[in-house]
Amino acid sequence: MGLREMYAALGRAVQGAPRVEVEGGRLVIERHRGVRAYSQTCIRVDCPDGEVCIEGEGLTLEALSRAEVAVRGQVQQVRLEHRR
Amino acid sequence: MIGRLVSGAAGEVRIRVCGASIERFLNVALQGEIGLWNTVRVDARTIETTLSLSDFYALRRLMGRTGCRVRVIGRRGLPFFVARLRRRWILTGGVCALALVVVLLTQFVWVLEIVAADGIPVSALRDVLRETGIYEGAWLGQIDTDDTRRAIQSEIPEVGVIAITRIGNAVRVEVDAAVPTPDRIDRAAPTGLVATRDGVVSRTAVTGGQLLVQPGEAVEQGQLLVSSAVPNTTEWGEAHRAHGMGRVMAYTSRTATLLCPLTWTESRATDRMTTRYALTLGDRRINLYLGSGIHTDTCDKITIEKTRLSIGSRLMLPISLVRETCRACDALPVSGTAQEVGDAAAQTWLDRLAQTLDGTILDSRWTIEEEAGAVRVRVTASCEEQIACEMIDRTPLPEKEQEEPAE
Repeated sequence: MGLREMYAALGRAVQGAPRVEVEGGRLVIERHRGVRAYSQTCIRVDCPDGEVCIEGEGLTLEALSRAEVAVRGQVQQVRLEHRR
Repeated sequence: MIGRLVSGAAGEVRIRVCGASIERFLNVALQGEIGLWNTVRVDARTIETTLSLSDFYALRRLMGRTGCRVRVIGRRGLPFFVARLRRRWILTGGVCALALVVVLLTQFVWVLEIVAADGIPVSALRDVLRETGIYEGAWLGQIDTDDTRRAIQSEIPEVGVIAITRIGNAVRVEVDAAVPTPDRIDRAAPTGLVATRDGVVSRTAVTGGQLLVQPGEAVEQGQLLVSSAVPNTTEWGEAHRAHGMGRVMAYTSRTATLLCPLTWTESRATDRMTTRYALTLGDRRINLYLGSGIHTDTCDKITIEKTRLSIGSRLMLPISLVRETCRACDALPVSGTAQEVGDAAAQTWLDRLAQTLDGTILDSRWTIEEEAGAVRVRVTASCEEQIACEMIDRTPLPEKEQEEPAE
């Protein structure tokens, strides 16, 4: 990991910014504050900066814990809505 | 996969949650450090999710805050399996006892395979193995392969290479013969070569001693062919003793008279077959049929198949099923013509001669005479073979010719 990446990761950890990873048909959100809404077509996850909104079809919560939220299904759109 | 094994060992519960605010339930579970997985939305008021057994107990304490109803729809894992088995204590006890018996039985040797080269006495080898603790039924912990190797080498000097391999609770002992040390030839010993049979010398190849015969010369059995007394070859040299060595090939004649019957009986197999089964426990045999194992009919035991019970390919148990297949035979008289019988007998004799001869058969002929239900076959074989063999030679050394003094 380079110096720039290290400072960026440190910054995110300090600021608590959410981290979203998409791997294959699985989407993982780290550093979240809970689930605002959950349905098969839309999942809204509360984060320190705002909300991560995931839209798609057949969405399921593969794993839900304090550390991360894992969503599986046909993800069509991921939006980060900042809180003002 | 490891995670699934761990969660399976700890136990997991599948629940259905019904309520107006499912998201509230999810967030209460999160705050309570409860992990959920495989959460599926069934309808607007219902989800199904899975959690560990310990988290389920923790969730029960938090249910008042969720405003939802929870119903268990599935249970999986070791705690539930054990709870089911607890009610069936006889079954559980029996399985545990069986597992214990199997574990104990696999601590003993039940298969001992001995592979020995020709010339090594297998019965003596088996006795030595038994004395050092390697036999069927022996405890694996008492086997000391180094001790066994030393005992085999001291008790059976013909043995060269020894390999003792243990595969599970089967032991394989492979033994190869030692290469014998060749005899030292004492080149100064008074040894000559004599003829083992009558013949006419065809070729000679002498590497020690004094050759006394030439190709084309007729020799008799016992005649000295190579002498150990070697005369001087130069004017100033001395006669000396040598060890006679070499090969002397000669044309010889071998004869034999064979007497063979014209009729005999042969065992012909029939279609009548019987199959019997037996069980062996260790070295005890339990016949799974009535009566003794001795057949009253004339029969051949064609196959004996032994199927041993084992766990995988490495752990053998002392239980095997033996299947014997017997085919009944009838003794039928067979006859042949004098020519057929005589030719077959002569050819058999010639084949046996060719295997034992140190040379080649150049020509053969035979005569057949029929007499009283049998044939008399006179076989003659012309051979070229090696006829020299070593013998102590006490031939005196030739005296050196003395020069007459000048007058």
